[in-house]
Amino acid sequence: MTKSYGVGSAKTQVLRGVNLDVMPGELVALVGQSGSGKSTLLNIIGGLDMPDAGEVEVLGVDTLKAGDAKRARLRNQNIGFVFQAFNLLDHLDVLGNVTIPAAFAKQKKDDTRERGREALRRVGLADFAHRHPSELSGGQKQRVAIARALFGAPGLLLCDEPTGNLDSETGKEVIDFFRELNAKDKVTLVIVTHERRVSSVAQRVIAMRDGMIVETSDSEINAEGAGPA
Amino acid sequence: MMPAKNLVKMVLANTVRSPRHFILSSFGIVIGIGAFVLFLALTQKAGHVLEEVFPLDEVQVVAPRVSLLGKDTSKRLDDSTVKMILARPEVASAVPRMNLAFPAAGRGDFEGSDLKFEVGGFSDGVDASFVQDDERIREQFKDWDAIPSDPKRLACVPPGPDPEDAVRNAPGKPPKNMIRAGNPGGNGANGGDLWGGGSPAPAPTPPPAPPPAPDAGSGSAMGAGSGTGTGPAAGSAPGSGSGSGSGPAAGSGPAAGSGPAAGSGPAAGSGPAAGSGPAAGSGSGPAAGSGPAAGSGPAAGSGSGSAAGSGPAAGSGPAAGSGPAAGSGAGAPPAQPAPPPLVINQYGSIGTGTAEDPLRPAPADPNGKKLNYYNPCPDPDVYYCDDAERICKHRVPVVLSSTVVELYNNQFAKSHGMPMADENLVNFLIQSRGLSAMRFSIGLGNTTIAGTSTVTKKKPRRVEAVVVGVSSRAMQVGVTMPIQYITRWNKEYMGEEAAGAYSSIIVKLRDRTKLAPFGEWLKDPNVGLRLEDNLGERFATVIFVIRLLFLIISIAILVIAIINIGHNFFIQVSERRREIGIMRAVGATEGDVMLIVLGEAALIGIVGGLLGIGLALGIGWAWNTYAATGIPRFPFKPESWFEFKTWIWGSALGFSTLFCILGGYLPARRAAKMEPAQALTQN
Ligand SMILES: Nc1ncnc2c1ncn2[C@@H]1O[C@H](COP(=O)(O)OP(=O)(O)OP(=O)(O)O)[C@@H](O)[C@H]1O
Ligand SMILES: [Mg+2]
Repeated sequence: MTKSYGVGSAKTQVLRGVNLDVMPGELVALVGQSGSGKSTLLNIIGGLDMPDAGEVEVLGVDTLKAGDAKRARLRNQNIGFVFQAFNLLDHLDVLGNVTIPAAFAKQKKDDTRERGREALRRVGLADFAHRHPSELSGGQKQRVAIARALFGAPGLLLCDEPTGNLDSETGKEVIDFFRELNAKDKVTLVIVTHERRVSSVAQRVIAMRDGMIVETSDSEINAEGAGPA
Repeated sequence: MMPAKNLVKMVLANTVRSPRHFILSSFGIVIGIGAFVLFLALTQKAGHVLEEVFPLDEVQVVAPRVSLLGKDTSKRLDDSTVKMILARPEVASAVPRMNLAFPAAGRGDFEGSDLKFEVGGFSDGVDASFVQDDERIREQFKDWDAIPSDPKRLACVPPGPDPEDAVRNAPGKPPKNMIRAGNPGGNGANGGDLWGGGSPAPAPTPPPAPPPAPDAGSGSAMGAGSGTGTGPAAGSAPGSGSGSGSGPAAGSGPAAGSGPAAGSGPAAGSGPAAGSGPAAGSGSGPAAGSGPAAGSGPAAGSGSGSAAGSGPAAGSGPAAGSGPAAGSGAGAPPAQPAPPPLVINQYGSIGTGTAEDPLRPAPADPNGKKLNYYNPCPDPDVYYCDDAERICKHRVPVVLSSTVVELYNNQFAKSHGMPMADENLVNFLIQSRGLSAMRFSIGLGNTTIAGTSTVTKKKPRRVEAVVVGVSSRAMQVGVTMPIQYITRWNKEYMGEEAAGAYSSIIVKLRDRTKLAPFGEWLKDPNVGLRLEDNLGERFATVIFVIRLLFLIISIAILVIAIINIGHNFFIQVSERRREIGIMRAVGATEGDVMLIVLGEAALIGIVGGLLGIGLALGIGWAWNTYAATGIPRFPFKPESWFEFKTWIWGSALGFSTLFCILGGYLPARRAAKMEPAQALTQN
């Protein structure tokens, strides 16, 4: 799979032939220097961005051929995103942020708010439902973002430097939460990170440089993790 | 696509969240839509007023004026022309009109003021079936003279001439005070007192028992002032003739040929009747038709009088004494038992000589100076005693156009301190006071215009008319009556030739698109007619152009507003890059993003449109309020200057929404095409 931005002399080749398989239930860490193409790869997996050439299949859907509506549906139902910048909507309260995916869900469900509260409970913010994001700490914001990602009970969670804006203590809580999610709920996680501490909990660490995967290493702490297919 | 309910919710929430953006974006729309609605409503109203003034659904066909070597060779419009036009496939109906071809003066009384006006050039006859505006008009507007069996066509003695009437002999001179009978209860001014024959003449001395004058009738009235000559016809002369010519003379004998009856009374005094009296001159003639009858007359002094004998009397000569008797009157049984011709005395009672009608007390003027003229006919609101035929005839029914009502209001009512009339007032007066409120006299062959002279074949005579309503079919400036009257009068005064030529033919086309082919056909040399310049059509074009201009202005404002909206939305969309990216990440499609932005634009359109309509209504209301007092009256000045039709504000709302959606389209497209990944990965 390849991806480039710009045209002509300004053209930058961001991904130069990336080939990656992630198995269901895996927890994968994506590491590499700044600008190496990690975020780009993650967004392509989530269908938020498109490669120039190649094939992408996520949860059985060929996202290249699927078209915008189908990709949107995939993101709505099966994929959760967590970003470094939290990306909460400031005009909505915490519960509103968590339940925002429901606004775009095709089939109407009456239990939206209930499921939102349930997601908040899972991240330990049940009492914050009607606070506004501006009233929360960074860690709390990121937990709200995680609750939103989990709202649709997705099978795949894509996290772009989820601890990048957090202090190490809070970051650790988030990482622990991800590990538990992976272990208990069998959620597949792909986490872009710079932090050793994060990659150390991954079953597999994939290193990138200049748009290519340069190294794949099975984590030493995770013996029974599934290998690459 | 996201569910519509969620879309609406999100659009509303987003709009409420950014009021500044909303105000900046909707400002132009409010102004633009306000102008749009106001202009449309104004021109809509203008168009309506125009249609009121000039009905646009019909055209008038006239003959072009051609004169060759001083000889008028214009084509005539006659019945064959009407037939020819009716045969055209474009034509739905063709109705001829005829103008009164000789001078005539009108004089009437409206709410206590004496009005004089020219009727000659301003009378139009049209088929009665063409004028059908309301129930009263349908009932009254017809040729009554064509109904000889009308039971109210009774023989009568016409009232004598009005000595103060100046219409005929002193054109242009305003009449002196009206003769206002001292009969409060009665329906005051009756036509008769407005129009009389003779010149103001000194009251003739009452003749002592006039000799039986068989043919008294003739001669009579209308003596036209000329001195002596006239007088009294038939010898009878009760009239005294007296030098001054007044002719009035009484002549008139009483109807029935009978005797002398002085009754007729001529003007002044005459009191006929036997001996009686002279009484104060006044007398009025009662004379009850009937002959001699005594009694009658004198009245004068007495007031009551009357009594009269009236009756039957008939024929007989000279009355018998009865006389003056004060009041008494009664007495006098008729001398002769001759079989009475059915005759009406001036008190309106038929046949019998009974006491007077309580509603209309005997004519008595305490000063003894003025005469009272009574309408002797039954149903005096609509019947009058015709001078020439000496029978009670239905008044000539006349309809007015709303233009005339407006002209009256603007030219006349204000300066004379008279009530403003609108169509409703006219109807109201007729309803509440009967047609008597709207009666007037026409002096055929007379004119109010000084120095005008048209040679007519006959001496002037008087007929009475009554306005029966306001009709959209009436000629714009003038009076309109059933065409048969005009035809008869034209024949009487101008000859057969004039009676056969129509002045125009009103043609109703099957639809307006047929106007062009019909006009072409008219111009064909074989046809040789043309359409009357249609002022209405021209005004309609002017209004159309003005409306177009206004629309262009409104649309220019709206286009600027839309560009402004587009600009604001571009800014807003890039400010909301991250938000849009988040929505995409949680499952919004490109289409969802587009719909959200378009929805916000549409909401601005709807709310801005409503505010604009409100603004227009507000300005309209303010203007109407100001104009009601701040702008002087002018013809057809409307109460409301605007007509806020449903289609106007409906289309305003539609346009405003549509335009805003158009304005939001490009920003919405940009929002949909924005790369979500970029916005989300930026810190
Ligand atoms: N929309 C874009 N237009 C042009 N170039 C882009 C765009 N997005 C990313 N790039 C370039 O692609 C390269 C890869 O970017 P990417 O964000 O994937 O790097 P990264 O590995 O996530 O770096 P970081 O650790 O700093 O987040 C960079 O050189 C970046 O400048
Ligand atoms: Mg990155």
